[in-house]
Amino acid sequence: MKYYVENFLIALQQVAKGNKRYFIWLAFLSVLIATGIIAYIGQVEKGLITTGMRDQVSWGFYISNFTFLVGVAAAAVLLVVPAYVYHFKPIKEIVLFGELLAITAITMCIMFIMVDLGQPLRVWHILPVIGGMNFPSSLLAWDVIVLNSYLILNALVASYVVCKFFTGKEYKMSVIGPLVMISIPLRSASIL
Amino acid sequence: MNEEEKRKVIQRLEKEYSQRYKKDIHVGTEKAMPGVLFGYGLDLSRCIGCRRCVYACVEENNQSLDPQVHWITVLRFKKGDKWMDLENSEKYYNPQQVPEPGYFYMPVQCQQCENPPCVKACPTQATWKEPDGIVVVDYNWCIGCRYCMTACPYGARRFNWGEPKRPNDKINPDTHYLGNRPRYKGVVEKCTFCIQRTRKGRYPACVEVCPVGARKFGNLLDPESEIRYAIEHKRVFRLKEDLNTNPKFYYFFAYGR
Repeated sequence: MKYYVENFLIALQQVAKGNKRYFIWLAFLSVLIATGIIAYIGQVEKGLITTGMRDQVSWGFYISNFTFLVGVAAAAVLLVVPAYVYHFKPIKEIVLFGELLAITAITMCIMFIMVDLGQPLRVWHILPVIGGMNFPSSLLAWDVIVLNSYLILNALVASYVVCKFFTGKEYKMSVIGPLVMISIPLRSASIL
Repeated sequence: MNEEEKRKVIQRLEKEYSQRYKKDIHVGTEKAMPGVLFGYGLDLSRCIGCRRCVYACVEENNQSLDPQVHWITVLRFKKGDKWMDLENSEKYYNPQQVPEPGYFYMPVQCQQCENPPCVKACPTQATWKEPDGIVVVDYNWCIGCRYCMTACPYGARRFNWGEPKRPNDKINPDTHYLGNRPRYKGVVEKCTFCIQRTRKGRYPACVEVCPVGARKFGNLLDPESEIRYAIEHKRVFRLKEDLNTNPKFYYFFAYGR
């Protein structure tokens, strides 16, 4: 365990290394993030009225971004099919990038839904057992299940493969194969 | 939740509201009366489009005055047009005097469907249909995702986009937990057939105020009721019947046109 933690810290140091363009890019992204946070603080204070949405158009940029990013995350399925079903070697390494892209896209999806809520602190009401999840009739209940399990699966697969890659070993297909196969129907469900 | 817990919640809410609005506010929890299924009738041949119902509703139901929240929308149609095209009707008509010649009006509010799409869409079960047929929202459980607004084919649900503002002297102190108690920022609300009045046997505020008697209200299970008379003797129709929502809101023309 200690071995993995040390290696993770070494890998983390790579984030702080780069040329000038890399840091300019990071600064640009930080400015974007800061703008978003400031805007969201205003929204929490004044309510969703700051978004300019009205009763007639009650869903706007947040939900359209959410559906778009669900599509991005689900697009990884197109990489998995040729790689693992037809054993097409050259594309196999790209699948990992697909998984990583899916993780970021799903994270953004969940964040877009969170900022779209009028009462974000009550989000636990949507969970089963402690809240009152309206499953299976509500679409958002499906989204909560599918997106979260898809996120967990992708995080598992990607961290396993990256871990093996870092220690210089070949990853075992028997470990990630079933997980990837489970994630295919989840992706399809998240598109729907 | 058992009765004891419910009582505590009501006490807490009453205290909270009284402090905020500086007067005693009663939050009722009257249950549905047995053998009652509320139905609503609206005589389109009488409606003059005066919007008195809209403002009587605002006065009764403690909606936010800034930003304005209205539960009733009055649509204006040109006579002879393809008028069931609700999306192309005029919501913001503003003449010197109503009724305007050549137009007629159709107020739309929550249709209290027997098969409500909004209830199916809610991810948290914060909205449901009561035994007397009224679809209600729990403002303390709603997370404000607005899926119900998208699901509603009648555009009847309203969202508190900003902090609801209402001066202390304009608060109606006689409220109901599922009805007109003061709302929060970021929750959905809608017409409840004035649940705080109708469960005590009174008419909804819009029925009382209508100057031409276009609005009818009653118990659909009572053969002697006003609404049953209208359904049996007039040519009634309901909005978007093809969607199988089965509304309990009946429109009719008392005088043939």
